Amino acid sequence: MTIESILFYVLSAGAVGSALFVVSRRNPVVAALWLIFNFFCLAGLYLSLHAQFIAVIQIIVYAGAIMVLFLFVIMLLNLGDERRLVEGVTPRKVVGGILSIAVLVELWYVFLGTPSIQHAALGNRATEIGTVEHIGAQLFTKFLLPFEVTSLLLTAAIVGAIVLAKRKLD
Amino acid sequence: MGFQISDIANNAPLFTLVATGLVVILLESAKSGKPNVSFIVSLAGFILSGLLAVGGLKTEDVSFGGMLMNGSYSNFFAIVFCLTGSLTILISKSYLERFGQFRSEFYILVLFAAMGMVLMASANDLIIIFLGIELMSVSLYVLAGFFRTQDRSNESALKYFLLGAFATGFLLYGIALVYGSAGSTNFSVIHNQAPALMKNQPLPDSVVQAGLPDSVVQAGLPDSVVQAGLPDSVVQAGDSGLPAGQAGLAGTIFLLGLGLVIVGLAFKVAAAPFHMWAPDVYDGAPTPATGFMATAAKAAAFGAFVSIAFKMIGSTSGTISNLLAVIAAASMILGNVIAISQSNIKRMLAYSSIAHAGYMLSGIAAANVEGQAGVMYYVAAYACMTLGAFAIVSILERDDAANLSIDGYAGLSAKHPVIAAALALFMFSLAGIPPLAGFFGKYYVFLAAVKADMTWLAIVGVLTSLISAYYYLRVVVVMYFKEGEAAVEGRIGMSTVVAIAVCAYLVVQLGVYP
Repeated sequence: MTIESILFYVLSAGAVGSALFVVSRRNPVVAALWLIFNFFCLAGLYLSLHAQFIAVIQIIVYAGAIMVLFLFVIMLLNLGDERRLVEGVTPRKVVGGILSIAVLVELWYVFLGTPSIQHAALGNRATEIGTVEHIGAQLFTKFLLPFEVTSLLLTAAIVGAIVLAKRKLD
Repeated sequence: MGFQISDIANNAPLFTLVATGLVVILLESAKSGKPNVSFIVSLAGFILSGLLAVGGLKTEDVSFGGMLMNGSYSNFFAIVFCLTGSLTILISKSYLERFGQFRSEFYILVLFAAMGMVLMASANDLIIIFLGIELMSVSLYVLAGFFRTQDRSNESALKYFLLGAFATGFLLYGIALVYGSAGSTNFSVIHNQAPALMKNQPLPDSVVQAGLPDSVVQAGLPDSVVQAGLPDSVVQAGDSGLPAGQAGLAGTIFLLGLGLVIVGLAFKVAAAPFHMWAPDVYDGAPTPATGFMATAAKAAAFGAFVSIAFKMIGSTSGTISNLLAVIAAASMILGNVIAISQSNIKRMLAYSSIAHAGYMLSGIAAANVEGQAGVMYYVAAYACMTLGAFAIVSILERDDAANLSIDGYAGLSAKHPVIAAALALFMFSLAGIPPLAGFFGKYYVFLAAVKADMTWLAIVGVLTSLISAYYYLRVVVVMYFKEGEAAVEGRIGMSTVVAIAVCAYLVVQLGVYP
């Protein structure tokens, strides 16, 4: 067993385990913290697939920005008594369960049905694409203009946010 | 590939706007509360950018590694945006002062929206189209809600934002599907593959290889995207090339993607059945912002629409043409019929703008050279007459928004004969009465529809134009033949008068010398 496969099993177990904790915890803040752990496990998995860029983005964007947003919303909602959040078995849950089993079966089918050569080919392609060097090179040559336009978009959004949210005008 | 110094020269109008926008932001932070400076700098930026666009009309080039297409097409639209942008700024000054909202941010946002518009019209890549639309929309959402103490303005901004975000979702999903099936977001590459994809034929290998510009795509990302979503075909597909069954699937995905892109754009031009937001948003937004939305934003969306229809899909698009023709007919009928029952002039103009989107779409549906030229002419003519009409509405609007009903215009001709005459001119032009600009716009797009064997579409267009004459002329009748107390509060801003004069001049000029 190589170190890579050991890492894979450890991280996968962490990801699945923490995902279970996310949905089973009563306290929303605790659930959100388990979600962060889950994000880190996923980032580790990306890293083992040579997708460094996605791994970093996963931590910065999801574990950083989006989680802060989550925690803010949880605090602002001020849920108070957690027991009120508990609900029994509803039709929605049954349908959701059936759908998730269907997705599982689908994934299983795809992976068992694909010839192993293709796995290897896809893996090599991913290695080529996912590195920071490759994405950086693309971003600053071919996609230079979209990259710069994004900065304009963000500037416009900031100006707009100030216009709409400034407490006092002038 | 990549960036060259000439790219900046080719896109001089765009970069002038960017520089102006940033300078105005810096000026505002250095000398807060001097909106007059921002007003003058923005105006100068727009005029300079428009002049540069006039200068660039002749050079046809591609810049930023095929991301942008510069030339007569993009520069023509840049001129339209700079014209509408500067007119909006002129109109806004006295209006904003009257409402106590004369602030630099208005001009910054107009400038940023204009940058997005120029990008949309010169885009040669779906990514740029998307970013341009977002840049424009984000600025417009805020402009709609600029009077943040007014409930109507807030409601308008929120509605526009929520529905606009939804439409962007459609657009982005469509772009993803087109990318998945064609293997690129670049218009020229997709254009090469479109005929094969449309006919559900397997892609010739040479096309696939010639069309793939870089290592990411050569690494087979598109195939894997298509395959990953489709278990069955993966099982059957070998790992070389695209077998017939899968190419058929790619064709279906391509059409689906195009359909979703069209939904997204049809929302932006406010064509039926994606028009629901327009009346409420136009009604609630500050009038100069409404004028900007109804003209420049619509022109920009049509700029993107025409590039996608002609440069990306090409002329082999029977299915798409029919789809567009149906949307066009629906917009013309719905916009014109509902406009009759409107008593608020801003809502009336909103429905009229839906109808005009229908007229312009019939030029795109015709999918011939006349159609393209007709749409471009129509965009310019429509921008002048609608912006002129909104300028006059902005003069007459009072604090409590009470003076927006058409009946409130009664007796305007006696008190302010020049303003009434100008409004009558714009209404005649919107109704399509020769020899004004609106008539030739309609003439060109309907001619294109007839040439493309879509006579039925032209007939629908002419009949609905007749209906539209009723509600446009009603405004004229109310102004001239009804006694009333129409009055302008305070004195009319000099800049607004200049803007109205420019619009009126262009409406006549474009009509007499088309």
